[in-house]
Amino acid sequence: MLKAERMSKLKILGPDTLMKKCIEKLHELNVYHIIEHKKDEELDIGSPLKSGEELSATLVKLRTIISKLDIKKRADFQKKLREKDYAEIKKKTDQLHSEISKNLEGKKELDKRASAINGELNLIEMIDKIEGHDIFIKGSNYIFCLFGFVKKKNTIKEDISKITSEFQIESVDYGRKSLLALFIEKEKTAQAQEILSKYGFDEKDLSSLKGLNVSLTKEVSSLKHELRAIETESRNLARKIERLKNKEAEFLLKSEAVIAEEVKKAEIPLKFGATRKSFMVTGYVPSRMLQKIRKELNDITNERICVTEEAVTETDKVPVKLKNSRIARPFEWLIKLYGLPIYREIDPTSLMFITFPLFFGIMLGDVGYGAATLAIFILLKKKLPSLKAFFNIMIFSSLITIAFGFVFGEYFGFEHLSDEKGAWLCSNTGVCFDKVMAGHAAGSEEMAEAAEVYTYDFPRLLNRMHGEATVLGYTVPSVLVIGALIGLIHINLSLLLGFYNELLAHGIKAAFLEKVSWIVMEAGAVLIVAPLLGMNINVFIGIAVFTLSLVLIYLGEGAKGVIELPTMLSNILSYTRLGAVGLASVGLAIVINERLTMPFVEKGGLFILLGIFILVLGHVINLALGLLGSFLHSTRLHYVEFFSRFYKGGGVKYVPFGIERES
Amino acid sequence: MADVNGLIAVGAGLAIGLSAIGAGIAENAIGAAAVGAMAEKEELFGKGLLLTVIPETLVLFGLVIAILIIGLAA
Repeated sequence: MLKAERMSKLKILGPDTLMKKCIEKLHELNVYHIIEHKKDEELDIGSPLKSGEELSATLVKLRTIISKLDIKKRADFQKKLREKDYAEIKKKTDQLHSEISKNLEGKKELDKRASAINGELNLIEMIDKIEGHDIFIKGSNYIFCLFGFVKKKNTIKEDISKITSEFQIESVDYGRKSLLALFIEKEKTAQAQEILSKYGFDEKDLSSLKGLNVSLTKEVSSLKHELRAIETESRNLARKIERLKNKEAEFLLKSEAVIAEEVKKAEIPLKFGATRKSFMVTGYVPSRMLQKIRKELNDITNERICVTEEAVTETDKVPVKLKNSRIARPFEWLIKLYGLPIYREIDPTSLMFITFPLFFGIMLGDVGYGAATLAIFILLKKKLPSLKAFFNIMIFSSLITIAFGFVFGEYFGFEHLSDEKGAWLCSNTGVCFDKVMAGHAAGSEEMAEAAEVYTYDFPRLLNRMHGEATVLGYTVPSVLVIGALIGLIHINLSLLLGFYNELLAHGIKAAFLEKVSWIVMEAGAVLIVAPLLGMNINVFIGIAVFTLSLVLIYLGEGAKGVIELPTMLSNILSYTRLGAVGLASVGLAIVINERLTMPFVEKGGLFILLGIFILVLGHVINLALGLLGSFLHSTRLHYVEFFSRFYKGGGVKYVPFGIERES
Repeated sequence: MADVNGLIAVGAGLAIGLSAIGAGIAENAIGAAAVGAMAEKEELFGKGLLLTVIPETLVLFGLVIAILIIGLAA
């Protein structure tokens, strides 16, 4: 429960004639995590199975078809592939591939022709507006025509008349620009183009219209007819492709899934070490599966391969498979976010299962808000099943929030019932709360006494807003002190866990010097402060212990350990945010309830609606802030303050060779 | 002379506000570098986060001072 699953390092050696059998068996067992072999002088990397090339080609064709047809759904289908099945799949794939390619190409050609026709129709429409368009079509040896768009404001007529008097301009308004046709002698064409370009001349090519029939209307109608025919043909092709897609989608997806696994099996020898006639694989299996694998491999190869267990060295990167009880499992999501633990390190999931909801509850601590978040996350869990783990974490945290809401006595920020309601509740249902003088509600204690304002307080263990504690002569809000105490316990827990980790990894001396030295330092600090609290202990004892701890820390971690001395204090005080975030949330809620809503409600009439609107809006905002803040701060307290003293992270995930299952 | 409680309040506010600004400026560059490193190598998330929040010590000392100062107002 507190550690990841124990792994054994397994080495498999055998002749390459048996390699295929071994691969099939390992894939079926789905427990062997293969370590990629790095090419060295003794052993080269293996080459893929012979069937790999053909399988890859088929797989590529399948994937091309799937992407061209835009099939989105993934198939979750696995079946053992036999030779006969594969031949069928290959034949059908090739056939589908050529058919679909042909159809898609045909459609593309048709669409291209359709847009060309549309372009011609556009040109004709433009020319129709200009007088003398028959000259474009007939062509001429002496006259050249420049045709296109220019800016509306222009002095083209004057400019051209400067270079020649033999010209004709026809222009018409076309949207924001002006459509212009300039008929000019062929020799002056270049100069005319220069003049026109000053006005943003956008020339339109008319060569496609040369040789057309002069009667443009006939031309237009024949083009439109052709366009309609093309569009119908294109639609037919699209429908044909769609029908093909619906009929064959399942086949395509299933085949893709099966062949992808086969390609994976064919290409895995690239991770093996190999000589001309033999192969070698190194990998890890969970220790409890060791015997089973050995037996099965030996069975199918008649004991002609060698399966040996090797010792795990310190530098090996052993894959990590988390092993946690079912209720703590959602919290693995938080651990994966930070990074898996390295092999043989403590897996803090079960600890986070206790402390994360605790911190979240202390910070949000309101029955109403807790119930609201519970409802929200139960709803979200149904809609987004992919984030199930996260929602489970939040649902559990919401339940703890509700519990803490009862402890703090807060219901949507309301701490008490007013005089009349409290009295009504007491006389009618027998549920009587404490009747107290309402100090803060009426402005001050004196005003409350004068006006004799009472309220019925909800029952609670601790009042967050008004509870106070004295520390070393200073009055501070009690929630901050509670936060700091929790911090003290949590940090010391992390020191103990770090001690255990170091003990396993590097032995008792290193563990003592690195972790226990900090505990000695804490003891020293407490002894120094003790005389101030009135205890009869000589302050020099404290100083001696403290100096001893500094020496131990220096021996254990070097100078950087000593420099980090204030971080201990800083980390413990960091936990006061458990109280601070809560206070902020409560303060906002009280402001919304008493200062924003009450004035409107007391006015009566239509203002009550406005008051309710402000109440709901305010609490939604406060809930969002509280949710975000509490989640972030709980996570940060774990990742930084808790993990920094014992957790290394950066472990490799256990991915066995076989069909990948959704974990 | 201004009211003692008012000055105490201003002092406490400055204590925590200025130290928070200082920590913010410090964590600005560290955080940006940490996220950049993480984009290239996911395993650095833990170390990056740890380095980013090292300047929190500044804020916490400011907080302690602020609380002590407010205690004087009573």
